[in-house]
Amino acid sequence: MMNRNKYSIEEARLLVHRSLDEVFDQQEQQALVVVLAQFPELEVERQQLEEMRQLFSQLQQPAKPGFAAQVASSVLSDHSWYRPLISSWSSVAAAACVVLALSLGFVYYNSGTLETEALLGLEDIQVDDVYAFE
Amino acid sequence: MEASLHDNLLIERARSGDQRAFRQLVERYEPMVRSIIGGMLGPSEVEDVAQDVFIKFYRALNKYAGNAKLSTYLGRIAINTALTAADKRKKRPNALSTDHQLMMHKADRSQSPERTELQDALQQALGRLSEEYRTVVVLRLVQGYSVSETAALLQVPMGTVASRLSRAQKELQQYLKPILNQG
Repeated sequence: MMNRNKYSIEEARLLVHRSLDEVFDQQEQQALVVVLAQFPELEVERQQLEEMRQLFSQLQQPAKPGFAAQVASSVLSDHSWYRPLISSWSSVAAAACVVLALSLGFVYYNSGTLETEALLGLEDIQVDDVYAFE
Repeated sequence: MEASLHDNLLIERARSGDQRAFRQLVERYEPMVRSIIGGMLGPSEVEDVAQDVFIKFYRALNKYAGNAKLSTYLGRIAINTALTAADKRKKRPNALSTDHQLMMHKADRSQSPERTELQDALQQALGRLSEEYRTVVVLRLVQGYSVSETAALLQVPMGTVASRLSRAQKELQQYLKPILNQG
């Protein structure tokens, strides 16, 4: 964009609009002089934008006393305080679900059932095995 | 930069459940959020929609990575929430027009009459713009975001921001002729 004598209207407009908020270095400042000479209508547009900005800044709204407390209480009342926890633990919960599913699959593969005895590994236990512990 | 560091500290505290830190963040960004919503929807829906914005922000606290400035992040939530509210309003069969809303809002005034008349005229002019143009005008002229901040917020090129504002500004010149001629 720098060190040129001609700019497209889009480039020129962008530079003019940026000049409303940004502090330009020397090169950009020179480019701005060139585009304003090339497109005099952009100087008018810049003045109109400055005027509009002054007008529309009157629609800025002040803070309302008590609003922040109201928001904080509604955050608490819908119990969303635990949501950050859910979102930070969601990957751990997902991993635990995968481990649980794999474990159940393993039990079913080995014993052909998911009954309590199979889950506890007691499906093959015999009365003699119990006496053996005594 | 200092403010942004401070924001990050408050966010860290809010993430760990510190309600006071969250409240401080709300207090800091409330005027910005109110101005964006007021500009997009008119004065009557500001309260409810602003509350929605901060509740969404709270729920997304862990998603904020700190890459964008918090003002940009919250600005984006505010714009998206306002656009969703505008869509809902359009679908309501007995939705109030911006003019009606302004008439109702006049009952609740504490500022000087000249100032509020001017504000009403500005709000009505904004209401006549397309959503695309209104969004850019609210961000650039009401809220004072720079071209690059507005582009980041709307996720469009900077040239698009400039050309939309240029066209919107020409429309506004027409709608606000009486006011501009007075000045």
